[in-house]
Amino acid sequence: MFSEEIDTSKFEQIWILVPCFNESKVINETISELSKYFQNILVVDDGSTDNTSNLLKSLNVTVLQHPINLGQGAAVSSGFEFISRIDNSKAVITFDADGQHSVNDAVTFANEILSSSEDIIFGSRFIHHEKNIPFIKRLVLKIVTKISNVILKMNLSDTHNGLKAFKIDALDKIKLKTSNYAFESELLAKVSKLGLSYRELPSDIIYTEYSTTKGQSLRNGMRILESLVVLFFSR
Amino acid sequence: MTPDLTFGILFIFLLLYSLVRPFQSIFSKMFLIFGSCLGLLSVINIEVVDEISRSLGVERGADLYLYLGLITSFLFFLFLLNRFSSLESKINKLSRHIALKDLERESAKKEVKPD
Repeated sequence: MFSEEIDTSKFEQIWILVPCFNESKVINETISELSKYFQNILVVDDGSTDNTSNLLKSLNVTVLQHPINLGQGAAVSSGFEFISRIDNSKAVITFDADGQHSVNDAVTFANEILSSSEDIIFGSRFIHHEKNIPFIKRLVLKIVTKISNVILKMNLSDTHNGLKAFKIDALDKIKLKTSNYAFESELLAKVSKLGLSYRELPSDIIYTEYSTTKGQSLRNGMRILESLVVLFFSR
Repeated sequence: MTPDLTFGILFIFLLLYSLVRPFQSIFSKMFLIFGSCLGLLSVINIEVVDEISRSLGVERGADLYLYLGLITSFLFFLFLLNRFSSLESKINKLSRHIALKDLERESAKKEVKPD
């Protein structure tokens, strides 16, 4: 960690968006790590049925509470809608609640989105950190990425990574409808259609036993492929 | 009551229902009218249905019913999917609205509270 070396005052206009569902085991740690660098953290509790909502009350974060579980896409959309209403906000970084992402990467993304001209910065596990990804996951991700790039006419090395940074102006243009994991495909389709500028930055993923059981299953991979087929025919 | 009579009553009821009920789509109305007429015809005289199916290029009336049944099931499935997705979207909007309102209310409470 490099908390002493970083001037975090410039992150005042940056919001960290953490969608979460039943993350009581890790949410404390994830938020406390993020709080070292970021003042504005929005957690969207997507109808958790465990102790997550009680834990969030004791943390110094803004909490948006869905009354029922709607899905990750819906949680991200709600977060976008809330943050885009805040006057002085400049950018949003989406960060998974399960502790898979590195906070150092989020800091890098924050610096980049403030200084670069791109509308969106996508995180990629395939730049520098490919070997950290389990084999099967790597294979599935590569297939999904290849299909996504062909269908959406994009050039990304990792299309379904939770760590992303958005300029607020870009958020106003993107309105998501998909509520489940497949929202990432819809997001990419909108980015491609609207001609928003983007680039990729490396993002490391810390695969723990907890995060692999909580993360995207093969069933969700099927949903993503299904959404890509729908996108292909609705172009 | 014989099966013919039961089905006959059912198809008459369906025909009347399709004529009386207001439909959002004219296709749904026409589909129900056409289906109930065909059903009624098959009860009255199956050979007429065979004639109709032959004129449409289908050998037997039973085959025509099978094809129409499959098409109906497929269209119904699509209609249901569309309905579900529309309902899901409405629930999402409502839940988001509630969540945002709750947060606004809590923020207002915090601002009013003295230190």
